[in-house]
Amino acid sequence: MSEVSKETAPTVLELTGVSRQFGAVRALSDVSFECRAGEIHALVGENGSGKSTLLGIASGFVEPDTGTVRIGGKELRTDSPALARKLGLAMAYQDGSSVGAEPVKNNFYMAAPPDKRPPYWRRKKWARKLLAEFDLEMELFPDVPAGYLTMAERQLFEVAKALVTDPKVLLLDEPTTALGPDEVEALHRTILACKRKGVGVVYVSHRLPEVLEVADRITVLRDGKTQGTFDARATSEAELVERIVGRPFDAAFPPPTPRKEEPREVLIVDGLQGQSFGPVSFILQSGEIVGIAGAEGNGQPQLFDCLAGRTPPRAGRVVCDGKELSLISTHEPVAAGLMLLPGNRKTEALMGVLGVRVNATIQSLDKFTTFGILRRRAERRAVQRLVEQLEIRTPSIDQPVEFLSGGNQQKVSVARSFLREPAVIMAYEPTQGVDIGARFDIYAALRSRADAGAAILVKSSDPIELSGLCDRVLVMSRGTIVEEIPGDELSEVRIVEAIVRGPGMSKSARSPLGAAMPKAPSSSNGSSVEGSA
Amino acid sequence: MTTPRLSSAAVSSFVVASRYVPVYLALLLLIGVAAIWAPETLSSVSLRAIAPYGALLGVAALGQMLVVMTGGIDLSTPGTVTLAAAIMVGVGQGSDERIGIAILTAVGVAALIGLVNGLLIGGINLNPLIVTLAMGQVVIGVVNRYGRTFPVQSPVPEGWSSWTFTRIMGISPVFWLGLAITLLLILGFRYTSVGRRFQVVGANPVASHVVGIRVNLNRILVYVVAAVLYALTGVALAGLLKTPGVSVASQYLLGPIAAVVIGGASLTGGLASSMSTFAAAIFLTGLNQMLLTLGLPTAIQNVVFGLVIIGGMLVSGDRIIKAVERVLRERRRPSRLKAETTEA
Repeated sequence: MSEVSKETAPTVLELTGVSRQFGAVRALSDVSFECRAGEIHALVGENGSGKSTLLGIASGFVEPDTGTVRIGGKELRTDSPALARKLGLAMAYQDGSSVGAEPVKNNFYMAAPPDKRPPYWRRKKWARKLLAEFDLEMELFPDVPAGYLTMAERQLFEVAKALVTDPKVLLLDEPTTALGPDEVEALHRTILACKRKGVGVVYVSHRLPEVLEVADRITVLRDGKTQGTFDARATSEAELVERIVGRPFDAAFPPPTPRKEEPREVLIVDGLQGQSFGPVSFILQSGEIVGIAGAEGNGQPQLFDCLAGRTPPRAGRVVCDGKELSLISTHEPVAAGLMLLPGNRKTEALMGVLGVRVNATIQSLDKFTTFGILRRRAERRAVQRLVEQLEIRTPSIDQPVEFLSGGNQQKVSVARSFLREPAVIMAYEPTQGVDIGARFDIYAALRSRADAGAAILVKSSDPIELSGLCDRVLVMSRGTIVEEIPGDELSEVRIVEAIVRGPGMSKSARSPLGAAMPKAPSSSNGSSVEGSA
Repeated sequence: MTTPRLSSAAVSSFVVASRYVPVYLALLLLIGVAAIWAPETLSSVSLRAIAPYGALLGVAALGQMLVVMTGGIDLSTPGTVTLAAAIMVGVGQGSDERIGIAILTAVGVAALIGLVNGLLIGGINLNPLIVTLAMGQVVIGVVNRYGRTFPVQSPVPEGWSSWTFTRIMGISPVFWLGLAITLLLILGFRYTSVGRRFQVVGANPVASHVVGIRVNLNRILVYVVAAVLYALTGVALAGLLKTPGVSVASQYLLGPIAAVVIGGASLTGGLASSMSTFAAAIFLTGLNQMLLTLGLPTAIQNVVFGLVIIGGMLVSGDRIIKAVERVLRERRRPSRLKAETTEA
């Protein structure tokens, strides 16, 4: 690793005193950050600590409320991604900024600014030379259509495409979530090649081992503030974890009540595998709340969608309350007692134009029906009772739910589980967009369902919420469960540690050719899990 | 965050109902205007003539309304209405014994057309606009061919057309039939779980799928039910016209859609009122009659008719309810408003 003298190298990206507010949320407050030429500068922090906002501001997509951005010494005056690009900034997107039907070489050609393009007929040779320059000639071939690349290859391809513009600074946003160890190594080779060429690299990741391997300096973000910049060689993982966590949190959690009955196994998931996750196996017992932790984009939403019957599984077995589920329709899991509270309330959970009553009882109409005729009075009474019990603030039980606040909307969604009383409730980010006061009500509501004998699976990106609410927590990484944290070990630090250590999957674990899955499509390497999606 | 209790339930039901208000205002306005400029429109002879046609437009509009409630649209209406009318002639063969079989055939064939529409739209997710437009074209073609298998100007069975001209409480039974269908739908939506689920599917198909409702089944069957309503329209229309030609139903393309819009339905699906839709159909028929009475040239009639529909869209339900809510929100406690915006 050839070192460019750090002190003398020019600063290629500099953010000074940047703040940005989204509604009431202060995403960034007075953050300063710099990246020098030939340096790999890592940016780490929890979900929601402000990493994405920082990248957005640096790349011109988000306008800061205060503060300045300088790229290559020149100030980025307006929030214009095009200007940022012109000043020498390149960003590798998570996915989707390429033309799938065109081969790699043409995508490179289109990405390059006109003055850097070769003659059209020489583009293949040019593309090959570029790939060699960045140490990717074994991973990518100029003639392959971009749409045929596997998820891992596409990630490398996006990085290479960003480099085609010959930038001064390169931004990478969580580039390794979809990568296995071999591809991570290839990516790191490429980044080091950039470094040798004098490109400044900003590397956003939540995986500390990977960060410590390549980065020169590491900046920690927490709650939109920097917690300091550290020299990678002089710091340790433990020290960084300490900086990452430690957020104050002002909502109390309902205490778990001692179980009255003997717990039963109400949900058995065995080797379940689907689009970008798996194989996943776990068992839920009645009366417990189990958390799903993990950085975003590690297969959690896909797992929830699959269990709710929204996307069919590729392999595996699911038994809910003694009934084997095929998960090919959403009707089946609901009928068997498996209920999803979706994360996106507006589009996936509620019928905004309809009233609280209609929304609350839609999954339990059978209860209020005799010979197909609704007993409206019984329905009204039941909903009225729940509105009081869950403290749903609404002018009437027929108020359209789109006019309620986020917390009250979520309560309406939770109310469905009180009416139907399913054996398993899957809550996806139950408190997203919910104010502090209503949060406690929702925690209490979920706990009271558990006390009534339901098993509850909660996906949350907030480690404090998970440690306070759950009886145990499963940690997901790259589509599989990599760790289980038992109740007596639960703490915010413990969860964050499990997430940032994020042990990579072994190749055999990522391969769908495991012994338990004869039906899965065959492929020579693990990337087919995402590749055939 | 305190919620004022005072008559808040009334406020929220007013907000919900506000979208259906314009059609009744329009109906009142029409009666007022007619009373001043064209009082003959309001004579009992004229009203008796309007009633069955208004009800027929109403029944077709109710079919269209059901489709619009699922977020779709059905442009095969005129085709299906014409086909049903032609079947009354062709299968009825002018003989009173064949009335029953003719009606059943018309309804059955229409249900099949609806099923094809439904499978293409709800089953394999094709665009409803284009599918039903094409299907309507196919049906019109079939009707033209079918119309040549019997002599021009063949009548429907005598018994059938004379029944449509009998009077029940002074008005044609066709009107009462339309009213009965409207009441049936109102009760269905209010008191059955099938109606409730159907409404929910229209309001948010994605969420309905998540909560375990068979969304596609609903979206398929709605076209069948709509086609059956069109068939009933065609059957009754044939009775009223005695010798329906192949172009009897041209006004059934825009008419039902206009009634649905003026009736305050949400074009994105979910919200609609059967009563308002029926009232809108009566309004449109009455308007047409008034324009005729005034003796305006056909060209002007068309222009006025089109402008009224655009006016109906300007005060359509979705826009009304947004405006009402905005006014109420501004007048309500500002503290809560702040809390709501911060969570967006």
